[in-house]
Amino acid sequence: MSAPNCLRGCLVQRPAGGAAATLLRHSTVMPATAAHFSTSTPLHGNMMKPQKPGPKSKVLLVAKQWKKGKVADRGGKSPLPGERKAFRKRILLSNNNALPVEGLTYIGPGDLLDHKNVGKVMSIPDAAVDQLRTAEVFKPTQTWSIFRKPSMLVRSETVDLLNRMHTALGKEKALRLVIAGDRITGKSMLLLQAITHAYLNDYIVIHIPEAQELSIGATEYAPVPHSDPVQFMQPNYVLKLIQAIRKANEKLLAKMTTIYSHPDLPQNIPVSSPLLALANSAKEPESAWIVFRALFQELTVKGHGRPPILFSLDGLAHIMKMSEYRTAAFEPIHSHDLALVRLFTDCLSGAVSLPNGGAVLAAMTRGNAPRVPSLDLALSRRAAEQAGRHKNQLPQRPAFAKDYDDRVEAVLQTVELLQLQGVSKPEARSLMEYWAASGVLRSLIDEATVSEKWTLAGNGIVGEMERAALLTSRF
Amino acid sequence: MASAANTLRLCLRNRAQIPCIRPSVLKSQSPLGRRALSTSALRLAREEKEDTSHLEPVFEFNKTWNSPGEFLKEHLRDETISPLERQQAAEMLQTWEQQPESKKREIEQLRKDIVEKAGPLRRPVLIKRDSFWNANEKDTDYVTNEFGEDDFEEDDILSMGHGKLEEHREAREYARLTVWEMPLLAKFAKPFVPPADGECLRFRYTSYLGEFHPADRKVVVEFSPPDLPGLTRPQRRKLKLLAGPRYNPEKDIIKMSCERFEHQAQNKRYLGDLVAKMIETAKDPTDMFEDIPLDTRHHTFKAKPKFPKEWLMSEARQQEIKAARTNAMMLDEQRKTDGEMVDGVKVITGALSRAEPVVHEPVMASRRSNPSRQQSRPQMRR
Amino acid sequence: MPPRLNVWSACRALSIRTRPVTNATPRPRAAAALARGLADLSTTSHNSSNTNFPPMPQTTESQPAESSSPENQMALSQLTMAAYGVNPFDPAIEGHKFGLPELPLPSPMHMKHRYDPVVLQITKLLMRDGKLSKAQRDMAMILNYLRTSPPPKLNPSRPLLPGAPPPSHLPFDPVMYLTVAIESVAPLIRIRGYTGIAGGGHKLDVPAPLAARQRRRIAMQWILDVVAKKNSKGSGRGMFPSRVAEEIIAVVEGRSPVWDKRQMVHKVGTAARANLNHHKLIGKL
Repeated sequence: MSAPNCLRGCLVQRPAGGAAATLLRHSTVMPATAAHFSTSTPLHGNMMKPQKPGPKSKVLLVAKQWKKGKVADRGGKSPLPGERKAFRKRILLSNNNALPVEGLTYIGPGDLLDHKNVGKVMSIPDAAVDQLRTAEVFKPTQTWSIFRKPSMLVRSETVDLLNRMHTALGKEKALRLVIAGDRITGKSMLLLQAITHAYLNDYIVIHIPEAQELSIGATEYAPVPHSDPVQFMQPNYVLKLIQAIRKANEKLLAKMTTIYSHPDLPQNIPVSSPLLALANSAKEPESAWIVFRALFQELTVKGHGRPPILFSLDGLAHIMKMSEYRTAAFEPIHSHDLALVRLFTDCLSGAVSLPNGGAVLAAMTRGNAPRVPSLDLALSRRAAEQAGRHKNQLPQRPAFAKDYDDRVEAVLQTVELLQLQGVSKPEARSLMEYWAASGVLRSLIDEATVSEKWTLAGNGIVGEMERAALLTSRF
Repeated sequence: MASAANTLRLCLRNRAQIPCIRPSVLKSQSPLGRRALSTSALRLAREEKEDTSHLEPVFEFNKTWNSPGEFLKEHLRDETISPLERQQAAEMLQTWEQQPESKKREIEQLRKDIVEKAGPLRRPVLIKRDSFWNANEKDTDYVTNEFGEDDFEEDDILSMGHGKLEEHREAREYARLTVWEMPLLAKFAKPFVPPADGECLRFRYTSYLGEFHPADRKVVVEFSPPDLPGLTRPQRRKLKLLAGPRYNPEKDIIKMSCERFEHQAQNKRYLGDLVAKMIETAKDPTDMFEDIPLDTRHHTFKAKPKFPKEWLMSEARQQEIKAARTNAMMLDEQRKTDGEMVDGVKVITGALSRAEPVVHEPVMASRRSNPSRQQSRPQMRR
Repeated sequence: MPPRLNVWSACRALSIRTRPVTNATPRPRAAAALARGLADLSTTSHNSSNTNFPPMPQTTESQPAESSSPENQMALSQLTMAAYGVNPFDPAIEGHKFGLPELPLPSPMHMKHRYDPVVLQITKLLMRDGKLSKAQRDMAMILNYLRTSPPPKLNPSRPLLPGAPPPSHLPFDPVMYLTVAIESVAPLIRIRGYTGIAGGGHKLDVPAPLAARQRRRIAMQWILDVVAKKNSKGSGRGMFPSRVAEEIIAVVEGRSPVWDKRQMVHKVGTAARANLNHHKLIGKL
């Protein structure tokens, strides 16, 4: 810049700068007590204190706006609270553009027990789809929305798990099992298959779709009256759960009748009235937990034509730590002191038995799971036991390590473990043929293609295969 | 390049050899003189005193200098002097009086000459109080008395040259050492003897080759508990517990050091005593600390990944891969012949052709007026 | 860039391109074999039809080679093969262990041509702050949205590119869907303003043609401008791609305001085409 320009610039900007300076002087930007020269940043002692609601200084407001940048005004009405989340969580189960696949059969009651069906893709019957939707078993991250109708691959692990459930049913015992595995190996999907089988075989299904909803402090809680040590119920969540159970298992509940009189219920339910009436009596959140206890008590009566129960939960790690809730004394509440969680963990540990058989299934989650050292240790011990290691050679808790929890390890003392891995190549081929037949995968499915995707997906991890073949911009 | 001015300066340099005393020197020379080595700075108080009476001794000196006879006479007239002084002064006066006149004149001449020459030098230099930045003020922090020592007199090589020479001297010194003295070291060579069974302590010393260093007193001892004779298994375990974070569980070694004392030998003695004490404590059966697990949290176990042996290509593996490829090819061929091969593109085209069996011919743009046809083929346009 | 097998490549293949006519008559193979045997190995070419060989017989006479040299042996064997009716210059025979690949390489085999060119360019245009991975995920979500949305209902007043597949085909090929939308709404020209020519402080609007990539870029920028002003229905990372995909469907269905922009540019360009003959621009364009 030439000298005259410089001069002109200075002269022109002078008044503006002066105005800014006067504004600055009025504001509290620079404390008057600051040293003239200092290498340390001035402390904002007075500035950062919460100010009384009143007229803020003009300069502060201007500075704030400038920092945040202009927010684009998009017009239109803003969405209602919860609407955006509901849209994000919505579940689409069909794509009318996808081609109907020939030779796709519906799953029958015994199909998932049959080893011949391993490596087949089968459709879920519509009635079961409704039940699964009610129980919130489908997840928005799964790729149901790409295909014509909800179908799934029968894996060898599926048949294995369901056969174990079946044998447990024969012995009138409950299968207590934890489904573990790497990310997107299909843990929730395996749980879904087990629940589908349960619905098709007239189990009563109690499913907790997201364990974190119970422990992150997002739902209301209250101490259970007359409980010692004190437990906490989550009335709104339990009410929602009862309604889901009632809707999904309506036919079964209508058939059964009560055998106990429940005097503490808000509504008088006489003996030998249908269980559906009992479930219907939960209208208010306050009485939800009592009704749930009564319902569970009725369902776990031995004999009397009671069906087996499948009690399942997704996201086990979330209920194996201290919850975000606090007691009245502001002590953190352990997740196992929440009444519903306690019921599940008691069932999982075998403290509460299911006399008519059934299963207690817990799926791990790897995406958003907290680190629980006790859970990892307990599962590694179970894995070592299943591998036939001697009792003395099981993994031990590190001698001086912290953060270990005896209650967690006690719950997982006797559970079984199913470690999920990638699918085999024939299974992968069958799955990819289903994708291609649906008109979703535009390529010839031969061994080379299957092998490529199978290898790209870390030896057949199903979610990674979907990412490599379906959720890609490469066709 | 030597400029003309520089040449001229060099020519004139020998002529200007009159030693001149700088005014500041004269000013700084106090009558008391200065200690040869002093760590304390000159104090200001003395200078202030000088301000009031610094001219008095000068007058005294002038008087003595100008006429010694006058001075001695006046001195004798003084009542306060001691008899000894009086006697000495009288003797000196007598000597002065006895001098011949020519000698006196000579002295007078010499005096005049000296006064003439040194007169300007002895003139006191007064500090300009109000000068810019007090430029002439005496720097009281400046301790040394060496003035002008850094002035280059152009009669020597530069300091960098001296440095280079010094380097050469040093290199030659070591070369001499290498040639003459190092072969003699061979006489001190000893064969390596591996430590015997009883020698289970390994000491490490640090030497800085004769130089003083604060770390040369440090002694480090290392030993492995299984090497110590006569320790049972629980005793060894207790020893490890006693060692605490000084125990390396990966190498099974206890490592301790000491630099507490002034001499190496003292430190080593201390370490030896300590090890003995530890062993003694480990052998003490009163409390074997069986309930306390060995703490290894101070040590990080680093796993070094190695290439798995199963992944190495072998003849069998090659055969296996080949068989798998053949198998895959056979499977594909089988599917092809059975018509079970699924091709995504074919499936889509087949489904679309089934949905729209009629193939439209291209439609000219002028015929786009019919909206019902538009719906079916709106995209062909010429 | 290897062409994809689609309608566009077919269109491209139909265009007539001028090529320099080679006057050289194809060299007889046997002579080539001989030439190969005697000439310097580095100058030999397998593709004898394109190169013009100098006449050889003189050199053969002047420098008689030993018949036992390896080159001669090879030439003789080639002659024998030619006599048996086998092409001695078949690269599969000529000593390649695995043969030569078929050229051009199929698209997915080449590292740099992994994606369709349109998809590649649009992905880069979706990218913000250098987050290519996020842009790729967004692109995949856009394509999935297009795949799951019902077939578009075309608007006769907003015709798509000639030769576009019928709307019912589009959801089955989301890349084609995207390509059709972008190429259809892309402007053919842009308006360049020349200042100081029109006089009076006005600029002189002059239409200038655009290359294919430029057209796509401008179209995508218009679409993204519209997308930035839209409200998303939900929350989460899937919302930006779904808004983009909705806009692409709107483009194909003729509902998008991007069409108006295109029309405006074309209108101005048509009006300003006389400016191409402005006397001060002659020789400059």
